[in-house]
Amino acid sequence: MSALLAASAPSDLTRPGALEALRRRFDDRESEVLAFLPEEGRWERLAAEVSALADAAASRPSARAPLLGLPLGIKDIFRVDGFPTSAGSSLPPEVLAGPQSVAVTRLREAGALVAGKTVTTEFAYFAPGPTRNPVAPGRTPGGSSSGSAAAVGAGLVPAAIGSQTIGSICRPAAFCGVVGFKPTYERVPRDGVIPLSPSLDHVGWLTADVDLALRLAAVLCDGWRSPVAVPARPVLGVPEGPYLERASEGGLVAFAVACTRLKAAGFEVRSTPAMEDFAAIDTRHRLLVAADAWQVHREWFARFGDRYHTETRGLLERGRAADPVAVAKARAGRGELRDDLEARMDAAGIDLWLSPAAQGPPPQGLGATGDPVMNLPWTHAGMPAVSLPAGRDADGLPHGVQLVARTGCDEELLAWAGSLAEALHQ
Amino acid sequence: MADPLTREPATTVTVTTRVNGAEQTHTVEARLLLSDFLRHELGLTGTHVGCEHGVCGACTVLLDGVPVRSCLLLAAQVEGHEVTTVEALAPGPENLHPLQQAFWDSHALQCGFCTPGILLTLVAFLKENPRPSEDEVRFALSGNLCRCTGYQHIVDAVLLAAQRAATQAGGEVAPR
Repeated sequence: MSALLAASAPSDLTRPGALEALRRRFDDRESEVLAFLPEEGRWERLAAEVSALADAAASRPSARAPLLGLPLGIKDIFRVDGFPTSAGSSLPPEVLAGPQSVAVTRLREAGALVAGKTVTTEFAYFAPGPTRNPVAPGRTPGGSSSGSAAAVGAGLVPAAIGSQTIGSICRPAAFCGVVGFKPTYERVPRDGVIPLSPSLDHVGWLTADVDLALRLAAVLCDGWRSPVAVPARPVLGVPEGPYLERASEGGLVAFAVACTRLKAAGFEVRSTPAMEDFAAIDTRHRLLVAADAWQVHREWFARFGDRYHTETRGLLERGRAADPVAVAKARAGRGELRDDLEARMDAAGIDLWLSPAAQGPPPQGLGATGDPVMNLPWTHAGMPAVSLPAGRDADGLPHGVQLVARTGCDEELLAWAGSLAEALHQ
Repeated sequence: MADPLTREPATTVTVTTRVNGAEQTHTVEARLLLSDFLRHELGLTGTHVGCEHGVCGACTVLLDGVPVRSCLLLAAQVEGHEVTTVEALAPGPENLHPLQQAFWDSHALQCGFCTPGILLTLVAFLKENPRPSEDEVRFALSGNLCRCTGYQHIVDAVLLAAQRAATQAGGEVAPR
């Protein structure tokens, strides 16, 4: 249902009437969802950009840009020429200013249009913005890519750019009933993105469907391979153990329903023990985020410490106090986790890990953005992950499942994600 | 190639320093060498990089007036200090520093790669010791390698500069 709604966002603003349709969607939904940062003169700017784009396309009809006219939301930690960057913080924008992010440059060169900047939690950590869940307005859209997920979920735009350091794409995707894709670590350059933890920050995107995720990947990822040949149905492995036990009761019920649907559609699902030391992985990841964040922020924090939200300040204090030996061990642990997960894939003969994309449905209230723990190990291991909508529960709340491929197999993951998404909708 | 998952991320620092009289504030990687900061960030390519481990002296610059190997210092270490490079010795080819003029007149350079480091080493030396003996000049030069000249003309140039300074109202060969 939400996918149908989202699909109604116009996907090429150079088509007649598309810009007016986009504006109507904003008029209908944005004041309730608050996914975007306010922008004065948004429609005049877009009209001029659309007309310039249409003229350029008409003068070179043979070289159609791959994302011609696609309106995008861009998380406000990405620098975009013509927009201030605040990263959801109260720091002066000039402190965060700089050259446009490489990702946005690639998108604009491919013909995409920036519909606006989307709300992020402060510095993509946990202090939330005003955005509401488009499916259940009293609940969080998740974070930190809150506005990007909500914008797609509300059908304001068909796609939006986000980032994931713990679970900031896959979790909000599940909460808002959309597709979220986090590529392999460093598959997309982070230049021009205000970092939270450079070791763990991944550029990714939220889209109305898998096909659009694939089109963005071909533009954004370094060295995208296309086409790829994959077996029709991947073997799926469910990582049994303390990790899976972190999902809520409701989350596990929805996950069981999703597994049943996948099996009914002919996919083989194998229970595979994994991450017996999940508590330690979780601790190491959070230590690394804190230590990195302190390195990134210490100069800004010295000047503007009083402007930081309590949660971010707590993170930076933990990072300042971090033991360098423990941090070095945490860093080394990332490679070990990836190698272990991939060795178990080989041993069990599985192609993709299958797990819940969030602990459960979106939590009530807007004061917190939910727990990213289900996404954490995959971000830690730097492996590509896609979050797919898995329907609604008895309360009408959205759930998602998360599929994870081997490092660098982003192409195979998205090639399979289409049929998996279809099976989940049966 | 290093595993991207386990390598250290680049840490940046903001450095404010005075280089050749002008204040400079740059955000750079914490591991950036002073020599690379001068050459790549500031475009002051007169500072030459030879051995990159403190042996050849080609990268010598003045830090608060004292000769230092810029390849053995980090840019972050010159925060709040004053750096002088060869570019500051003379405003242009028509108006060389007295030591540069003496090098010119004595044919004290061939390929010129070592010259900036030698000039800065000896400018500081002559300030401390305006009337050196030949042995003292050779000792002062011992930390700078020159592979073309055999040093004789360099020694001659230093003695010439010292002599000219002495005849000009007892002045010294001071840095400008």
